[in-house]
Amino acid sequence: MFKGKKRFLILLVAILIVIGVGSTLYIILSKGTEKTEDLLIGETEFSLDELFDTSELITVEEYQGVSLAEIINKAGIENPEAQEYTIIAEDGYQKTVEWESIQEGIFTSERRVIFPDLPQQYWIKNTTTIEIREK
Amino acid sequence: MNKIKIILGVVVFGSIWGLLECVLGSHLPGSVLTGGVALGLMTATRLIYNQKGMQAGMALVAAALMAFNPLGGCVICSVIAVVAEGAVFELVWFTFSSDIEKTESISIKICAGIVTAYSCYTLAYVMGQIVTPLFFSDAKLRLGDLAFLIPNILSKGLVAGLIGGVVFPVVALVRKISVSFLRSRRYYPLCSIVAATCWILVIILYG
Repeated sequence: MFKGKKRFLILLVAILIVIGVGSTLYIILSKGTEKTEDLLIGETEFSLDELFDTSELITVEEYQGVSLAEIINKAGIENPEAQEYTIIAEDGYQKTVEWESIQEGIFTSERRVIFPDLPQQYWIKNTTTIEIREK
Repeated sequence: MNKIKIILGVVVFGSIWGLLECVLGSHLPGSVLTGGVALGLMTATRLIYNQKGMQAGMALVAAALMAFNPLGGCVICSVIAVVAEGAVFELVWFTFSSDIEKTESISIKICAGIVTAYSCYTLAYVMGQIVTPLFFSDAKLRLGDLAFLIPNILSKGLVAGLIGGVVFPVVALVRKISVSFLRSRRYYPLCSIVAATCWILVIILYG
């Protein structure tokens, strides 16, 4: 192997490791140490008990949970169809969806959000926050 | 090398890849599948057959099998991810070409494994995130969401890369044994039986 290419390959590996370790540290540090059991919707924080004791359970595919639309309504969001919703997981994974998908979606007791009308990369595990903003 | 031998190699190793993804997909994280299964099979075939483009063909065969049991239940996402892995592998190996194939240095093999697995995982992931919404009318591509995902992808890519760094040198060892098998008369019947078994198993289990 040419010396130049060999050096380039080793340098590339060093860069990739630095990027990978840096990203891992960033995720750990930005997540913080406190583990939340609540769900923050807009400005309102709900405990899981609060959500599941007062809402009817519905089944979507093999999952059971409470309607996301009902949760949004509970949070007192005005004109929900005029908003877009960013579902954020504990590790920072996030997806933004429209009201039409929220109406189909459920939130399970394992803090998982399921959207039957969307591909599974939109199904968020360990959901901590639903950010709401006008379209 | 005989073209039929190569095509049969594409089918048999693509089928093994597809079967392993179907069976292990719901039990192992994507980074392990990419760094272990995908990189292992693509490296092995590249070293044995020394045929450019073969791995992209294997990815297509694996993607066809995965339609029976897509990762996360999403056919298009799975197909995009596997095909992208094959394409990125080709791209990385095109860059380093025969240098990687001929090297005897263990450190270079480890480096090649890390770079290939890291690139395959991260680029396939990003491609999946970009292309999948385009196939779903209800989903929209939002670059803002993707930007927040980047640290996650790069972090998980490190796991794939480290696994690749172990898998590559190990797979490189089987090269000498496998080359004699290519010349064997048992190559055609054995490859046909293995490929057919993979397809039958997937159809029985998930069809």
